[in-house]
Amino acid sequence: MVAVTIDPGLTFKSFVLGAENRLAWEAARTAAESPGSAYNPLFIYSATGLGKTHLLVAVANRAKELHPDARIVYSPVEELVRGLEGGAESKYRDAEVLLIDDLQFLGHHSASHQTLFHLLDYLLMAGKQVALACDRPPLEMGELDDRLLSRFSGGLVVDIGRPVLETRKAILELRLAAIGAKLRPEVIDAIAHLAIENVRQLKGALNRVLAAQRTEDRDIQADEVDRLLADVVADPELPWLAEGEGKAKGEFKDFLSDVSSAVEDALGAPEWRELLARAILKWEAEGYATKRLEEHLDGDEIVDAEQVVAAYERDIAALRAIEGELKRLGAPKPSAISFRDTERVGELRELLERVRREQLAVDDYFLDSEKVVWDWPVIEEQLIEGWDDGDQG
Amino acid sequence: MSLVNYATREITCKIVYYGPGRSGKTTNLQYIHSRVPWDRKGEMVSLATEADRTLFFDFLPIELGKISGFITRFQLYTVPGQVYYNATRKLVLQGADGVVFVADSQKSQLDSDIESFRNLQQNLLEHGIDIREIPVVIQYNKRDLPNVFSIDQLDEELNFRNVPSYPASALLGEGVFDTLRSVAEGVLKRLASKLEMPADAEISRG
Repeated sequence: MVAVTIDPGLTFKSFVLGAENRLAWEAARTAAESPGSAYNPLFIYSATGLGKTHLLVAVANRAKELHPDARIVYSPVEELVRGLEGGAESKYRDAEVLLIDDLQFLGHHSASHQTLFHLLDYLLMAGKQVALACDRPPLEMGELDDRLLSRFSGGLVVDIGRPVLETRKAILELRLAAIGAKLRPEVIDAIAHLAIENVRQLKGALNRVLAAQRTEDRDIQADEVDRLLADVVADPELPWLAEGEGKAKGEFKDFLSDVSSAVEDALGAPEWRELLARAILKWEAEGYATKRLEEHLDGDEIVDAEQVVAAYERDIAALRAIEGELKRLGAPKPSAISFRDTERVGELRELLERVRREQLAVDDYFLDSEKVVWDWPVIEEQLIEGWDDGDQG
Repeated sequence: MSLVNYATREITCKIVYYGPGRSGKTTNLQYIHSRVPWDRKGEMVSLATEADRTLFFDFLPIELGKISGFITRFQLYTVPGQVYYNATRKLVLQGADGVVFVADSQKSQLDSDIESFRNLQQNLLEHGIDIREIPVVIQYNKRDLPNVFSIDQLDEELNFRNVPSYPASALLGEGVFDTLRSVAEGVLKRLASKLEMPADAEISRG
């Protein structure tokens, strides 16, 4: 049985997953499906409004679904401490799965720490699943009893990060689908782009835009989102978050202009690098491998760029000549060797020699020096004899 | 290291915001993020996890656009300030082209500032980098709070290498871009000297 009424809608399925919360989600699901077998205790922490309670409640819902008879207790820490001090210890000791939320409100009373330590110790020793949620990691919880700290950290400590842009968009889309409302895609995009990193606030922002759409009975446009949500974005601690784009762009523009000068100073320098860079761009555009030039360019050693480029271009000329010659000889194009890589000139030269030799082999007869030496005098003799005979005849 | 890729005409600089816990490193990045137009910045990411160990850092990529024909990018990182996250700090520091040390100006935080600065030197050394070889800028943050040391006092305690230092109130956005501008220029100057430096100069300098 579940001791506290919890929202059945908060499940693992309704939790929008992103890179920033996947590990916490996986760990919580494992805790729900195999209580006490891994990650015990599971300590989830994050800033407010990022889904800690959602995950704890999802553990309760899933564990209840799989183990309907198990005793599953979800409780904010203040209520739990009150219960323990009020003699309701058995309510928690009998739990198969104990889920403690808002651990940051534990306070600094050593009596509470001790009571909680004994409860956790008992449950963990008995192989019962414990999951805790807090707004900070155990080590940042202030003056905690060492033994309690070690219990908190003894399983898996995992955080939920702020939702990234894609997650924020997915949250908005899921929410719209859930309430059957519609917004233009660019409006969803604009809301997702705002500096709202708290999921609860994000949903509040969505409601505000939907309300405006309903009241004004027209589609809200993307460029109206900033105005509609200026106060939602505003953070009393970070007032600049809600400032208009104009001022923001001005400060960045000034910075950009200064950095541009620094880049120009940094890169406007050595001529030899420019020469290499130009050669790289030229030959790369023609499809030739330029690694050889790049190595000189990236290296610290100053090189005679003219000489390096000239040698490289000589090799390119050789590559082109070999390619032409092989084509002329009707040799099949080699599949393993590129005609666009100057490092392969040697191999291609050897290939050309080989092709030439193979083609010459059909006329071996004419290359037999012995025959040439022997044949010509014989023929000549015969011709002379024949001629002489004819003459005489 | 800064990656200058002449073939693709790209420059990428990695700048790490270092300092004790809660000194305002993330606020610096948040402010910069709020100032950069949408089309010039990536998502500010706070990540990540490796096995069972939670690692924290913020990452903000900024596209400065084409400068002198080079697509120029800055990657800004913060490290977790808390003492026990040293492995993460070391990891994030790897390959840094420049460091912004965000010190908390409050008197009560001086020890943490000093310890964190020592830790920075140590971690750089473990990557084989002498702190004198890399552009470092110190930001004295939280100038808007009472009970802060004067800039001179802080310089005395922390800035014995006489690197550029800036007063700031990152919460109010003051001094944030001055600091970034300074470290960016330091990184690019170093890049220029590296590109011009003859090979033997590297050797003789040691």
